[in-house]
Amino acid sequence: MPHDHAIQCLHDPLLVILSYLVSVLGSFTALQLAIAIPAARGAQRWRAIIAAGAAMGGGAIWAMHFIAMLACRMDIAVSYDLGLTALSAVIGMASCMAGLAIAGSGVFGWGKLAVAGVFMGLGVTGMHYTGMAAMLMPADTHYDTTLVAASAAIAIVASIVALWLAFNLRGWLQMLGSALVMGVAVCGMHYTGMAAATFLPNGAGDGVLAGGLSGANLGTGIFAISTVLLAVMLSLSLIRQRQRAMVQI
Amino acid sequence: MVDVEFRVVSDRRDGLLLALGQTVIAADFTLLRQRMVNSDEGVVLTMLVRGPENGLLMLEERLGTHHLVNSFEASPVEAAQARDAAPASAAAARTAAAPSANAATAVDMRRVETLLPQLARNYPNIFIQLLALEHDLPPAQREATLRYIGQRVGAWVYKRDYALGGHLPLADSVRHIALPALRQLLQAELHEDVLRIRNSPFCHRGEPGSCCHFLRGMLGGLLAGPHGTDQVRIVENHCRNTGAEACGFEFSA
Repeated sequence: MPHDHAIQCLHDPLLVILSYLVSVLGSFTALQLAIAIPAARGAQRWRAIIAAGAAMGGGAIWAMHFIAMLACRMDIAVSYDLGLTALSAVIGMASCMAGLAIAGSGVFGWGKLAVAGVFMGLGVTGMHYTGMAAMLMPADTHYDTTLVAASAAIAIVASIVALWLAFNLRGWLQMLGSALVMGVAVCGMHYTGMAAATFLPNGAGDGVLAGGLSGANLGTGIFAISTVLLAVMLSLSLIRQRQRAMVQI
Repeated sequence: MVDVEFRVVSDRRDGLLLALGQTVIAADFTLLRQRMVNSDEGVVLTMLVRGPENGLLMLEERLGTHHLVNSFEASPVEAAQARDAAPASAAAARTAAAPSANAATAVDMRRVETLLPQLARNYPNIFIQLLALEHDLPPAQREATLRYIGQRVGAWVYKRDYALGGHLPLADSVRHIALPALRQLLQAELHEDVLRIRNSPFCHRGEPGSCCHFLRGMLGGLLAGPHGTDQVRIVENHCRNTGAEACGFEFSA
């Protein structure tokens, strides 16, 4: 049912494009870290799982979400609860760590792929809706449950495809294809979830924003995360090139 | 019996001695002495092993294609140490036999170890050198030597280009690892789980029977990474040299 007094969220196109690019960058970095999981043992394996999960949950998903939230221009002021914002990052990272650990264990198969994709997809979805719950504003958020379910389905299906590309293939299609598809998973889920949301003013004053993170603070945090992702990606590329050159016949 | 010193370089220290020690024992060799140090190359494990001469090539193949091994060198220890292990009554006979047997093996291994870095530098343009080697080898040594070189090249290509990613079932390994790797060298296609090669340079060179020993070895080396050398069996069921349209390789685990 349409709401006549709903607050419109108009997306800045440039920031929308930037959000996809950041999700692809984060996904590329995370999946390049993840494909080392199958061959790793002991502490090295745990390091790869944690690093890949952090890059995916914190970089690809969390940073993308808040760039997209900054892209969403509304007529009301919005700030973000620090605790729930941090929790959203933890949910994304933990779920992605679990999904990547499952995908990287034992012989790769369809059953394992499906379970890993569900974990990753729910990580994207859980992070998004926790991040939405962190919004502090003089309005209430109402959700269309059909579109919410669709957003989760998009995240899960696209995650399964991305994991198949990353762990099953080799070469450029593996590296780039998986990142591009995972970017679609993250952005597709987010913008479907935003379409599911309706913001209705509730008459609360500006006091509701007190104590929350402003857009400027979030922007600084996102910039820092994106810089770290880029640095890790470049370092990993150099390290892999060197390792490849050092393999002796 | 021969004593051989192996110098193995690996990225990993955890479990290295146990894994390679089991490989040595499985090849009917005894591990006499070992030393492990960290270096700029990585973890360097030096093993002195003793065992049957006719099992040496198999042990080297298994070590060379082991997933923990980045590189290795094999150096025969002085024949005098091998004589010390023999019963006194047979010492004279073995002394006479061992040097010549060792010499034949040493010449082959030296030639192989000299050729392999050249193949790595020239890869994928390697067939001129391989065909020259095949021409120079005595007929009795061709199959084993070319298969061994193929195993080493295949394992090297796998570690360099295909090691990152999931552990795939055999059929997917053939499709996503063996096929693209062979396509760097030759015209290869997969038809109902049979890998077919239309332009093997080893065919029609005057030798009877199936002759793509290097390719069979290379496929083994490529697929040994995720599955282990002993777990994959590759059969050349068709060969252009025997009149088939293409050389065909079947895989089983």
